[in-house]
Amino acid sequence: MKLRPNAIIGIAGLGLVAIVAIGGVLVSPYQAMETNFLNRFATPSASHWFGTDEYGRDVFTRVAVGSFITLRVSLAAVALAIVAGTVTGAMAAYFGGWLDRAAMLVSDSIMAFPSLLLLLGIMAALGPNEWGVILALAIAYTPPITRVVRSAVIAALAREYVTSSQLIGNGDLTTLFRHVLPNCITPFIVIATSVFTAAVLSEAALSFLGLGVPPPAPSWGSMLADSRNYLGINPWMAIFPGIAITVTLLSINLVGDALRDRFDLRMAGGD
Amino acid sequence: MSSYFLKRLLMLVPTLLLVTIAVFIIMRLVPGDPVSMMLGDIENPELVRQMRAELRLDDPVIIQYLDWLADVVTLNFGVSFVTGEPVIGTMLSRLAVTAQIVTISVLLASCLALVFGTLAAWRANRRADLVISVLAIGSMSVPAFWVGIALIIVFGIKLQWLPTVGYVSPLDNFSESLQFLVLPIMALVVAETGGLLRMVRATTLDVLSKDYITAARARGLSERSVLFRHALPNTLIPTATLVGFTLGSLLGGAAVIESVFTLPGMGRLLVESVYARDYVMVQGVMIFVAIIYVLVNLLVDMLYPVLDPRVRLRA
Amino acid sequence: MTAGSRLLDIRELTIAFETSDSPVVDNVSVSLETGKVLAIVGESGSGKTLLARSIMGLLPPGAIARSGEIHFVGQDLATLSPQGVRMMRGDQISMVFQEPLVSLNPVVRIDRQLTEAGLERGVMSRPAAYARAIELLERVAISSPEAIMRRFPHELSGGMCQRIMIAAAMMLKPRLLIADEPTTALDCTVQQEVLRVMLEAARVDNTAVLLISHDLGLVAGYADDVLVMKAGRQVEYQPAADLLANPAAAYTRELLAAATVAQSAQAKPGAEHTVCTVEHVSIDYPVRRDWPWQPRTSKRAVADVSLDVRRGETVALVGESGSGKSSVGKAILGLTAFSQGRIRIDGELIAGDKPHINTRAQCIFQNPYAALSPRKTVWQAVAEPLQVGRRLDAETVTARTREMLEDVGLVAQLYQRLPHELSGGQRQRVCIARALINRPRLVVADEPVSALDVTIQAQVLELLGRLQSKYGFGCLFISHDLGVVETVSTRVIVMHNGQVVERGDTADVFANPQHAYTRRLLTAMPVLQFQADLGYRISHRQFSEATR
Repeated sequence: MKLRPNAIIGIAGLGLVAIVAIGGVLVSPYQAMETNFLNRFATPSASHWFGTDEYGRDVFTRVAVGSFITLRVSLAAVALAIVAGTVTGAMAAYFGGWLDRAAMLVSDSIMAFPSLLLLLGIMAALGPNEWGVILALAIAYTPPITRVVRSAVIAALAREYVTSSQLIGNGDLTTLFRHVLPNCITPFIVIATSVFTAAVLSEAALSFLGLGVPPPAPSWGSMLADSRNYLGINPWMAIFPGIAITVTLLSINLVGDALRDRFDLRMAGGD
Repeated sequence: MSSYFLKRLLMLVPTLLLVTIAVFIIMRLVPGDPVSMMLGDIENPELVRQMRAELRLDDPVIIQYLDWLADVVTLNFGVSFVTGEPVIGTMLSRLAVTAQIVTISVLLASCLALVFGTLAAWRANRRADLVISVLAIGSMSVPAFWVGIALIIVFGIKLQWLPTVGYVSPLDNFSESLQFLVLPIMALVVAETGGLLRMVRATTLDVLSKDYITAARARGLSERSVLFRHALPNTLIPTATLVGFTLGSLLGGAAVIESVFTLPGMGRLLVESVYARDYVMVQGVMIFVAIIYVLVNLLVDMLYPVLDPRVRLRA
Repeated sequence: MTAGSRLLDIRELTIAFETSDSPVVDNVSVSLETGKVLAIVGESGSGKTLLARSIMGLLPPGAIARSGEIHFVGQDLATLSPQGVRMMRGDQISMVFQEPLVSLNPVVRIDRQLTEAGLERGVMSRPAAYARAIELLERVAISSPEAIMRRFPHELSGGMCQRIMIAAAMMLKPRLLIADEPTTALDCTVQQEVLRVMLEAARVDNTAVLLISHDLGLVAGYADDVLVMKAGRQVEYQPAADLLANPAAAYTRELLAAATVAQSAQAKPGAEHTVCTVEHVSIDYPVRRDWPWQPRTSKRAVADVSLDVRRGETVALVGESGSGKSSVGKAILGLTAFSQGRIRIDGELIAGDKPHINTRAQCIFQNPYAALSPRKTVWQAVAEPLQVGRRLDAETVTARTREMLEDVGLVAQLYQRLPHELSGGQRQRVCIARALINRPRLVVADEPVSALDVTIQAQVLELLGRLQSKYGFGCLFISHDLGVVETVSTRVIVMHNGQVVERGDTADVFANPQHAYTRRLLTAMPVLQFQADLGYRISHRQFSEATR
């Protein structure tokens, strides 16, 4: 298997995030919530690689711990959304009729809200807590997956190999799982990656607005929000969490591109 | 043709109904009783009863919903718990601010995306394409609010060229208001161009591989004609959808950028109201933004027959 | 005649892709004089399209001319600047493509697509361009050109679009017209007409034509010279008359033989046992309603069709696209509901909208690529029908799958390949194996060879005939290709607009067609015949009205 440059950079980026996350927790002599009022707003140095914040907390440690929170929340939300979206999308496309219409109506209604607005509304109702964020993200990102899976399945259903599967006597579910879904993998990967990046971004935005995982737990978004009041004193506070978000998103995007190319049979050679 | 429009309009009715139900349910889930929240520490059973009756909280849920729905349909969103002013007035003034920055940034981002996306597709896999594609994926990966903060650090704090927070209406003082708008617009353009550009590039790449492009070249047309008169009109069709989608979602979702630059916009209104537990306002903003969002997407659908003669015929 | 006076002179041209060493056009030399017609004939992968595109300077990305020269009116095209090449396109050399519906821009009006090239380079005023466009549309036999000018491509039929493409190509009176499979995508009754109209339009302006085709029988009758290509190489190059009378290369003879009518060599009369009976079947498709309160309406796609297929026999169902022939096939397979009539397979009545038990009827599809799951190997695709609905032990499955694969002539190295790693012919063999592994009584073959090259067609048809003798299935052969039908079928049923217009023994129908539509179909198809001393001869069937 030959890796393209975008895959290499993407995997390296994810590796970097992992090293900072795990290394930060294991190596760092500080705790994420350990304050030190004698050493506030420190610029990056050998003892505090990313400097310290307004309570003298070590930013490197906080970025590291924050990555666990961000990735845990977005992965859980995306996993939920993928399961729910794939099942509803595939069923809606394959069985059609009222099931399809109902699924589309619900999706349309959820998608009638800009995603951040919906997230804010749900978080207002649920109050800031980790499971609330996961649930809200899952609700917001199920409809796009439903729609993509549905249209990919509808496209696959029009192909003769589906007719062929029915003709040899395969049942609906066998046809769906053995012949239809495996051929929807490319659009699925594209939407899954883009939903994953959207989830990471939204999680950061929610914490930035103070409606994500509640403080004092370090989250990249809330660290950025805190930094706003001290930009003149210590801009480093804003720079490192931002880099963490950007590197993570960039890596996911690059790996997603690489996966899409790899699963596209036409590009994988042959023909 | 008119049947196409009518059909699109009618198809919105069930969606919007479901939207109102969703908002109603979300607001029901909010912990705590609205009356005790409004009254705060005041202990007065008589007053509580009076207010419950006024808010019709003792009616069956379905009646409450229908009453509220009737209000929404007549654009009566109620009165804010906090300020005591009609919700609709506050929303409209806030919408004006959001609409300014969002429409300008989406317009700029779309133009950049169309020009450079087409260029990247035309020079596919050459150096220009590589540079543009790297910038695009970078743009997709940086959050707008971080760009905003970075811009504040550079232009506001280090260079001191522009004010970093606040807002002046262009109607009051145009040149001053521009100074406040430049940075948020820049932040949004930086963060939103990438997604649009990648879409334009992919679509154009697909269009350029079509036989009608080869046929246009075989007729001896210049590359400029091929790109702009034959490829671009085909690229515009799917691009319009994404532009509408971006525009609509930013109208409600610019909360973060508004809060970075402390702009009195729609998104920040929502966040403030959530903090202040002003649920009448939260409810109003959610419905209002959803309606705007749906209308923007409808507008794009209405554009389809203009862009694509095939849709015109089918209708 | 000196080389300088030739219009087009290609000398030892070699084209290859950057990523590969083996050339796709290998050392080809060919020339063309003003006003003449040169046909380049070859199957897919022969390099004929790349050869044509290299003349236009329109090679796809990655393909480069490695060596050789192309001279046009005495000038070496390689010495022209990109701008010079562009100015030559349309003006000196122009091109017509295979798929008319995708070669015209869907969002640009016909009038602009016709006139823009002349206007852009300033050689025509707007009224002059318009007048020239109208003149050309009339020349390609379009009846109301002014109205057509205001239309968009999707509002017109394929044949219309191809005529418009021809008109667009002729706008600036080019000296050379390159036509790449100009009629392949069209219905057969339209093909001859479009080809004739194109050559006539070119003749008026004394334009030479480079006609590219896979169908030697179709183009040899119109060409002055013929170049036969195979796998990038020049196989044979001679005047068309000489080539037909005395084909030199074995490959040319193979192509000609594939296009020649073999008088029902394979077709065998069926046994008494009937495997499929269709009685008075009508099929209606619901018409999409704009509004839910509108009454449900439907369109009759097939009206009152009856037919039967006997064991070991091939019955052909013939018609053009939209004739309803495929709907009949679908109904028999239980893939579409029918509103009236009865269908029995092997004596048992079938319901219309439920695929029935796989041992009774199977289908071979037109497009062998779309008919195979892209991520299943050859072995998986062929073995799968054995494993549906019953438990066979692994050894039986392996043995029967191997036997079936050997029967269709696929070698063991291919068993673990995916469909996109196979050639078209190999894919269709996999489809046949998959259809036949459960020994169905009836096989519906829906255009089974239309997507294949002619020499491959012959092999696949031969294979089907051999397997039919071995297993004795009845075959309903759905096709638009009368040449193929005449070879494989014992009886033929002709459909037009959803109705059966003619039926009978194949030999009778072809010799003495009763219905006007059948006659039109038959006269549209050129007949290639072989006589020992004269070589091949192209003729058209003639039927007088009196034969009724």
